[in-house]
Amino acid sequence: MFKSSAIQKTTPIPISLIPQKGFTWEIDEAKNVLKIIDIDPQYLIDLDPNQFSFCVYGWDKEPKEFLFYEDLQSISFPLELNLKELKFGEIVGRAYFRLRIFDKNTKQIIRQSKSFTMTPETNQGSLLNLSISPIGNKIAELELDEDEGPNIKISSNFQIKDEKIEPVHLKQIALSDPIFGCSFWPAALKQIFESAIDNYENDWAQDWLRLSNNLFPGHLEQDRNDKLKPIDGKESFNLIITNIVDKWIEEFGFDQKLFNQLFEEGDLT
Amino acid sequence: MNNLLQLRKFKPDYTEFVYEQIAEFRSEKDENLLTKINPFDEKNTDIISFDFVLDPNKKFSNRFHLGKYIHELISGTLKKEEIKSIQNDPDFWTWLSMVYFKQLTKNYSSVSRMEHYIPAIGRYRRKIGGSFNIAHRHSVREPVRLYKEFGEESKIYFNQKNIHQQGNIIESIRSRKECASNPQIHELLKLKYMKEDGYAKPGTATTSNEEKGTGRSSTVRLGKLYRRLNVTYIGPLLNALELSEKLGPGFELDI
Repeated sequence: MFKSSAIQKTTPIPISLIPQKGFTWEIDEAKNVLKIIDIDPQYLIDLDPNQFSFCVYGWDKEPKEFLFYEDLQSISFPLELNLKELKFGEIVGRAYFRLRIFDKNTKQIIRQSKSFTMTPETNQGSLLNLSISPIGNKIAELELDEDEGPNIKISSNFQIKDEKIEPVHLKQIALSDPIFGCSFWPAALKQIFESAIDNYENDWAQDWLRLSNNLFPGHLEQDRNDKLKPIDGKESFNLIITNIVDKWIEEFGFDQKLFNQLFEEGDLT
Repeated sequence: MNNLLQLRKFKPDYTEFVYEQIAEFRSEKDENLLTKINPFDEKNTDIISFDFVLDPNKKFSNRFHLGKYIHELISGTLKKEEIKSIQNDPDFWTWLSMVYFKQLTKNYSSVSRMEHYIPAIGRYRRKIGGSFNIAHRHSVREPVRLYKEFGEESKIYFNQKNIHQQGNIIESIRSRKECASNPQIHELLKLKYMKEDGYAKPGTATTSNEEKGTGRSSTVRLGKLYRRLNVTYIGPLLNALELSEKLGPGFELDI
């Protein structure tokens, strides 16, 4: 007899946690350099530096992986990981990393963090992951993954003849231009909310449904597992998505900015 | 008879036409739906390379030879940037699979699922694959990728006997990111399963069945167990011998 299935993951050797507050990190906007700024010494001090190594393990959806590791005795922070040199350029979808400490001889993990989305500080806490991708001459594109949630791709290769519009400018347009805010975002948000309802049991969908409940309350309730779901069913909820999006535009002031741009700043009159 | 062809790719509308024809064929089983697909009509395609290099009449005994031929042709004909641009282009790979479609389907008698002919990449990723990454199932792209990565050693991933079936080794190993990207898994495959001619021993990827007791040492089980192993170990740092030891019964090496 043997186990044919790997559905149940086993952890025969205890692995202790490096908590979120146990280290600090950052990544640049272009996602070229992942910096592990420091780690609380209490998570290293009890370990024999000759026996253990520190490791950063990253992966994306392509699937692509990288593994950076260094002996504890020689490591110094901040650690700057050039992702391209680690053959982790051109990230597809969301990218994640986790820290691990392992025994050099057995390669056994003895301590690790949870996994973190590689998101620049400016975007941390946001429901929307922004990534730079080669999508051609368009500002942005919505990628919707039913398991992982939405991802907005900003073009990395917007090019006219020999001139290129850098992603940083396109990102600025995506986040602040009122015409973009009143056109692209409503269409994208509609798709996101529709998908959130279809996949309401997923964590990312619950985050979006909480947002919708804050913007336009009264249409969602908690089920027995404390998950938000539509009170009057999916079809009814889809009808009020337009109201949620209106509230979102109002919240970010895109409607007022568009009005100002057209009539008060004299672009149209 | 067509002579040598330029490298081409379908116009996006034509790739969509291919999609619809195959989709309808899979339910209607009407061969005329497939014979209407014409990769040789220049109206349906855009040129990638002006040189006439591709032999559409070439016969392959299995997908290893197809992958080797296309890889050598692409790397000998296209510039680096051009290669990069076609790597994830569904219109190019669909065109190639249609050029060799009769071989790949045993004269239309063994037509597999859509992703074997239109790769689940780019705009077809979600349309064909849903939330799963099944790009490795493409009948031409994956053999080319494997040859590019492992050269002659890539034989071990292929069904040796024919070209119309992919074989289960690709499915069990290449569908799992942690296995596909680990060179030591490839080393283990060589040590454990390779015959003298470079192909895999019979039964290498037998589906594991606990009751019958089959597939104990198969790659299907290996893929699943390796994922588990990574919960406890830094899998990519284990060499082939260590992997064999830690994967446990069934994966011992005869050396």
